[in-house]
Amino acid sequence: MDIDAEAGFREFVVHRRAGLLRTAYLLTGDDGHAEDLVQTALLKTYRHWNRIAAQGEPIAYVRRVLVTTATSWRRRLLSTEQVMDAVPEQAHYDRYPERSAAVIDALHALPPRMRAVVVLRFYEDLTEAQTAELLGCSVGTVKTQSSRAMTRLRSALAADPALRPTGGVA
Amino acid sequence: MTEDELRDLLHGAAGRGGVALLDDDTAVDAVVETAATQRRRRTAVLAVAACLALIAVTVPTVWPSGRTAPDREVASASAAVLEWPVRGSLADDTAALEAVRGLDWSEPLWAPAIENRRVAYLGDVEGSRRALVVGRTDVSGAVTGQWFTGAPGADPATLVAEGAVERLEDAASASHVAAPGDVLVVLTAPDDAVELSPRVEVGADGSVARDFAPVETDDGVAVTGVDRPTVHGSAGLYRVLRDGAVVESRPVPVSFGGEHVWDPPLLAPLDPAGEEPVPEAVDLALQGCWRRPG
Repeated sequence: MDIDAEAGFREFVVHRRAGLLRTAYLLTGDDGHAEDLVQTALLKTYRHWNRIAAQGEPIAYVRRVLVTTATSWRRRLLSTEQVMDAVPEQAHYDRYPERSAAVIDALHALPPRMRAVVVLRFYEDLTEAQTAELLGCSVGTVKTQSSRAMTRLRSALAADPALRPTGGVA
Repeated sequence: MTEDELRDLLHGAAGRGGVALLDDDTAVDAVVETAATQRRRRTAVLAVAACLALIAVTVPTVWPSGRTAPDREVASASAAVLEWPVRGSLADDTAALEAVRGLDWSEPLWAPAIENRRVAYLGDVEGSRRALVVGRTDVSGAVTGQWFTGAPGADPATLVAEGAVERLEDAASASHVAAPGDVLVVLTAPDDAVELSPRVEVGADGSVARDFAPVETDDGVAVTGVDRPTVHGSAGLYRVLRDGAVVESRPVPVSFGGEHVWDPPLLAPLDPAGEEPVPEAVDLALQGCWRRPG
């Protein structure tokens, strides 16, 4: 890879890595696993960067690698889990801060592929067609998975006492 | 819970995560370094594979003791056999040579026409009279040879074919050991040398090897004794050297029948109270050991 291409890859990472880390966090439910997942996806992307960059928007490729890698992992990183001394403060908008932990738990209870559908559809705001293309399945499958996921999440989150005070979940 | 509420929940939850140990630049550096390491590893593996493939291709053609190596020498040798001078103690006896040329071969199909035959060797060795007749057959144009044997001093016209007809694609021809105690006669090009390994040597560490000793060769004729040949062959291996390189390596040929079988060794039971081994079992075990000793 030449210097210009590597500079392009570096610029892409600087602009997109934070978002990828948040998506990875939703997919894995753990900061350490999320960072490993993003790093793995970036490594796979870097190997083919010239071709990916030439095709246009690289984020679609990275997102696909992120999701397919996440769904194929079997928690093999558990033995190498890293412990942080302190979690840095990050400014973010959280309308239901008391529910976030419960949301992560509920997400993690979903099967990996169903979890990926939820994250892509309702966090990344991809269309059903884009989600289907990214996951390599039909739109019908995305609809089915999405519907089942909503049912499960409603049930899980409604049962959580932490969510009841707001009354927003029914 | 509506889809919009789920979106809010997901964005809120995602914001709590996304904390990384590495900053962006360090993460890129780690990716670049890992990719370079993997690329170097792949290159090294490919280089090793290429070297192994190169060795596999080149070694058989340059290794001095390989049987497949001397293709070029063999090709020239098969024609050179017909140019070999006549050797042996009766090499100058024209009548004897003429008589030997007319002898019957063991396999007439592979026998050259008499006018195409020539005698490569005729003479007496310890215990017998031997002759080698060679020629190019009409069937396939191959050069074949047939050894003949008889008692010392026997009329050349009474010699009989010994062993099968030999296709002389090699750099040498060896007489068969026709009886226990017979000598081995190896005929080569006049300047070639002959070495003999009587048997496989097994080291104390279990390693297997052969030791070759030079056989006195006079004008391309080597005559030597052979240790304990059996109906199944001999543990001996002879090889021919040209300019210091091995151009041919073959087992000592043996052609005598069952009437010449050596008596099996007497085996006493390790347990003094045990019974004598069944003779057939001993014979079977010895056959298994001697069938292909090297």
